[in-house]
Amino acid sequence: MQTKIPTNFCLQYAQVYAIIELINGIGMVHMNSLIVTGEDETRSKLNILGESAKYDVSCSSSGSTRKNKAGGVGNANVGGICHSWTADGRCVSLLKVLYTNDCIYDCAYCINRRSEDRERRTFTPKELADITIQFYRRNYIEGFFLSSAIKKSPDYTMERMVETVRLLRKEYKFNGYIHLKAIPGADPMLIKQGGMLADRMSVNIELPTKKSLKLLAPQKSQETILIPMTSLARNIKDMHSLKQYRYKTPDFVPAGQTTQMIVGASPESDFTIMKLSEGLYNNFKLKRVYYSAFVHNTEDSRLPAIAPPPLLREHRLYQADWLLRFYKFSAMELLSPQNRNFSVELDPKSDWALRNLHLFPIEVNIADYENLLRVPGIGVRSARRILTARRVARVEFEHLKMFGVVLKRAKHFITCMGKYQGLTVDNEKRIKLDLMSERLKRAMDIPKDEQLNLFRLFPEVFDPIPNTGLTGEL
Amino acid sequence: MVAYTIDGTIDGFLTAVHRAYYEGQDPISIIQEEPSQVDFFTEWIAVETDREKAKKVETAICERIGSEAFENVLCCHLSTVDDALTYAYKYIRLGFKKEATIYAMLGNDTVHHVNRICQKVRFEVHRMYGLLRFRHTTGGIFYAPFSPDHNITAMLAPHFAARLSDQWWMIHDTTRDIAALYNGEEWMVTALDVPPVVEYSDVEMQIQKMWKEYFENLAIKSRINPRLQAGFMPRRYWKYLPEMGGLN
Repeated sequence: MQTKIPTNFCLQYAQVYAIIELINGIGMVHMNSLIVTGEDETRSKLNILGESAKYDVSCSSSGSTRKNKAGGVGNANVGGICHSWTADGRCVSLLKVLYTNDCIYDCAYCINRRSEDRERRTFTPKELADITIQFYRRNYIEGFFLSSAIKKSPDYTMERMVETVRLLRKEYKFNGYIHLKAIPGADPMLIKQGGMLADRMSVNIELPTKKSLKLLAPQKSQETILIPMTSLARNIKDMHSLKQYRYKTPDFVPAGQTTQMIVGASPESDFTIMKLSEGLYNNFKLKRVYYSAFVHNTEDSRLPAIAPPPLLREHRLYQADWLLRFYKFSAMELLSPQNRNFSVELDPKSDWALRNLHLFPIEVNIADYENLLRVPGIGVRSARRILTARRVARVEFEHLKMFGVVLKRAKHFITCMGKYQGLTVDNEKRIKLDLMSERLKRAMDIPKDEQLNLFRLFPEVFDPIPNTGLTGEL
Repeated sequence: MVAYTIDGTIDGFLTAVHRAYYEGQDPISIIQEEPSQVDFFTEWIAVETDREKAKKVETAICERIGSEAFENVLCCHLSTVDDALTYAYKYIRLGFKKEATIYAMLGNDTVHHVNRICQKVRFEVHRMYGLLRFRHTTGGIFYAPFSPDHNITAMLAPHFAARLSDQWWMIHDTTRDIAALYNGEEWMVTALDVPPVVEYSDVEMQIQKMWKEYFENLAIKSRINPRLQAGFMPRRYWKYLPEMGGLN
């Protein structure tokens, strides 16, 4: 923590009347512009285009260390800051809107597709910049997220989006976080211009395979999606290397590149999706892949039968995604061609541990970081604390609880100074019960014939997030 | 057995620590007010604040243990946890013995308590970075009321001074009646004897309306989950959030 705290801040008696005067009348107005005219029109655009953008689930505002400059407003916080949470529990940290929802494409799953009967609106760059600055000054948001439907052509749309971001950065002197979508098929020069201004850029991969993409979004193609992803990855790498030599090199997409795919709109298995994510992380050096549970918004025969959104599956994919990024797992360890989908009962890490009981127990005072991470109940923070603490003292079971280790799960897989508090290997069923989440166990305690309705009956059971602060981070 | 009472400032606490060392006492508790039920064996001593002694202790902590330890002590002071200062005192004592290894002694009871208290305070600061809401007043100042659990106003000020560097703002802790003020150049924290009379501008009402409507449209209806929402954003903070129906 780097905040400077003055030690004598309490109870300094200032001129109280002067303060009240300041609030009531004597002060300066610091506004670049105020939205005074056309307010209703702007509001209606914001409602429609904000609502249209909510299926783009990326909410992160982290990864950039952009600083404020003299005469400017705003900065970026490297860990990201959540400003609010929607009624469905998702974090709101950016003003997420479409530039327009007037689309020339006709993708089967999208509410904004050409053949849907919807109100179509388009922002002007100035309107968007005004709204962003006004929200930012009130600390409603951390920054700006701009996506769009394709109006007229990819180039036309991308040019308008880049113009909005340029206006914000150069004329409104905005130094907060900006996430800009790259439109597949747009001129690479436009995308590069966007990258010099934005903190993060992304291209949605939409569907896991070429075949599904062709079926559900025939006007997009895997080539047009992969080209900007490749060029972004290359530019990020090149500019980063250049910065080692020339300090004054401007930042290009400092918070990295991400992508998103829809889960449940097409028949691919979890294995296919995880292999794809692993490839994206390794080859494109993406910061993050987002998974969006498919919500039925449109009627189309190409889509699967109507069902509630597959929230548990989305949750398992995020759990596995974390394992790939922070726990040094590989996709083949979690799933395989013989075992193509994640377990409903167990999270991927516990499932792996149960299949590999022969590798346990490990001694907490000796095991290295990678092995500690593999223990169910030990996460990244607990593992780091164990490593720190054991430099100066022996680690015993009562300490583990202080470090945040979930002993109910971990005790079957570790020893402390040689002592073991778990069950023996032939008690696999009972170990499994300890590894399952409590809510899931309660939900499964229902008659066999009703188990098919598991997802619909207990939507709150399949909440993605118990109370971990790690979701949405990074 | 002795115990100290102090005047509630950080200088008071540091003076108490100074006294504990230089008079060879080891207080079992350091708090602001004497408890109503006084134990027959404990002698309660009121410690008078002395800025010089406090400064000495501060320097000693920073040099021997590290500035991180001093920040931890400050966090304990700002918190509203019972016994926070007693644990902070024990932490300082332990730190003078062990010096920098105290940061690694995560299994030690005192260190663990102090770390947990600091975690609470810092987490609330981080939360407030997101949950504080400014309102534009007719005078041009951006006013942000809030009621935190811990005394974190001064920890919020540097962040907003850096971020909203070209607007005059005021962050008002309504439970403690202190406020952080910023005039475009520097910030300070003061006590407010008289609550400010705040009048919001028209632009403010327009923008709030836009924000509320935008926010309502964000929820995906098939995934509504009020418990999850309240888990991230506890209801006690909703009072000052426009989008959750808070004060206008």
